[in-house]
Amino acid sequence: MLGNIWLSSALIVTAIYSASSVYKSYSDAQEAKEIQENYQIITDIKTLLAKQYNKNPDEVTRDEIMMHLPSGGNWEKVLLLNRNKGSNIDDDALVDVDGNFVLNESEQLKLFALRAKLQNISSNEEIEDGTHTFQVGNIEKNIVNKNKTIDTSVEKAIEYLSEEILYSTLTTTQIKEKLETAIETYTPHSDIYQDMRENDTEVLTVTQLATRREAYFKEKIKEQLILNENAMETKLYYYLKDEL
Amino acid sequence: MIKIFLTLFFISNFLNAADSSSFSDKQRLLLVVKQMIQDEESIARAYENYILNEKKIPEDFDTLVTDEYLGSSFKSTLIPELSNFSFNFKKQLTSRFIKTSLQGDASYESIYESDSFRKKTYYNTNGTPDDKTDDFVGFKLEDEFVKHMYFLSSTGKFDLLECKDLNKEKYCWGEEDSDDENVIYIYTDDTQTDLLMYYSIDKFKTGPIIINKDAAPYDEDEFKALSRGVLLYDTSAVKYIKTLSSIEVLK
Repeated sequence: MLGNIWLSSALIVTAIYSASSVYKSYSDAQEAKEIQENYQIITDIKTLLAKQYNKNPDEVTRDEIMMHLPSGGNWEKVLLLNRNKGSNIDDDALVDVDGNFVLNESEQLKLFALRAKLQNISSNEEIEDGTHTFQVGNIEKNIVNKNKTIDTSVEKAIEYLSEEILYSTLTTTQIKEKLETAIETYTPHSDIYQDMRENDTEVLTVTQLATRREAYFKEKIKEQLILNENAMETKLYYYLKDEL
Repeated sequence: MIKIFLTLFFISNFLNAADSSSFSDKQRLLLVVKQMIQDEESIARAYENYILNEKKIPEDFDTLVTDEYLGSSFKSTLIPELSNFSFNFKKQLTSRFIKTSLQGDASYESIYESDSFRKKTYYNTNGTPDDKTDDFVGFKLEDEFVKHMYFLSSTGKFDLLECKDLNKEKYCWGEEDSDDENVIYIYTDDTQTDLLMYYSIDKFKTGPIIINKDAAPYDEDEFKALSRGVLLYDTSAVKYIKTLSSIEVLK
């Protein structure tokens, strides 16, 4: 009798233990799968936005990702550490405001899963105070894209100058001030990839570098205006030729 | 026991709902900003199409709210502010964002002012960082003909009329249904007494442009807007070319 009770109890305990082990394995596998899925979804959204608006994937912020996600339908779960009902963006964010993946050291399973996903993908992992940050999207910005950004900035500066100069009667000093404002406002410092040094040994201070980038940008405006591609640019060149 | 369980269940549901609303509220506001940007993009496209079709620049926003352009039922997040808005010769809108309750919130502000979700518009920080009242959203024109029409319309008069029109203007079209229907005439002033030049609209970029020899030495402002390399003939059939700074006879 006692033997039977002992055996039954042992079987029940074994069954419970086995069931919980199976459930834990299933739950771990799901978590690993979810984090890999989330990474893929965020990467795809960043790449799409980057291609569409000529920017670096690593510059796409969480707000921009949120603007791209359909409203409703629990899509916010891709930004969260887990898909539990209680998770929220303030306490359980998987994607930080800069659009990077952040995982705490205690989340060992998720870290392994993410590293497994990233083993063939170029991605930066930074560790600070037990928090691992993974950049999503390529780090390198391709030069063609930077050229496009510089061209867009030149275009904006010319639009601004034409609006400010062609429709008002300005003195030479005022025209000069407008040009200075345009250069100050529109020079895309972070996108000018040339090192601006006159020789290999020259070392530039931050101020010198900024000044040379502005001079470079001014030269790009002149190059565009001198092409005389349309009446507005031709006339604008006439007003600016002594200042450029 | 059941009461305690039910109470805990409702509290838990309430907390979940509160969490989810924080995300959805934020997303809803972000989507409002995105919609504002998309509306501005639509207005910029309509603005360009209007110039292309009507050969004049739209006077005000209401002109664009028709079936042919924005659609007469265009419901914009901007409409309350834009009704009766005059473009005032410029291809731009004043910043709408500063009039919303989101103004001052850096995260929404940076999205609105960035190039994210913008292709045909750009944000211009015209004022100082603390004073954004002069900031505007500019339209980028892409079509070369539209750029030329915008230039003529905005530097001459708002609307290019036919030259025979009683309301005379210094830039005008040839008479409709005549041989010079698509010809643009440029005079020195609105009296249309002294002709400077005329050209077929499809030749605005390369020429030939016919210039009046009486306008020599060709130092009027209108000649400064001719592109480098444009071919010109004067009314005595002498051939010229526009250089970067002057008009030279071709021998």
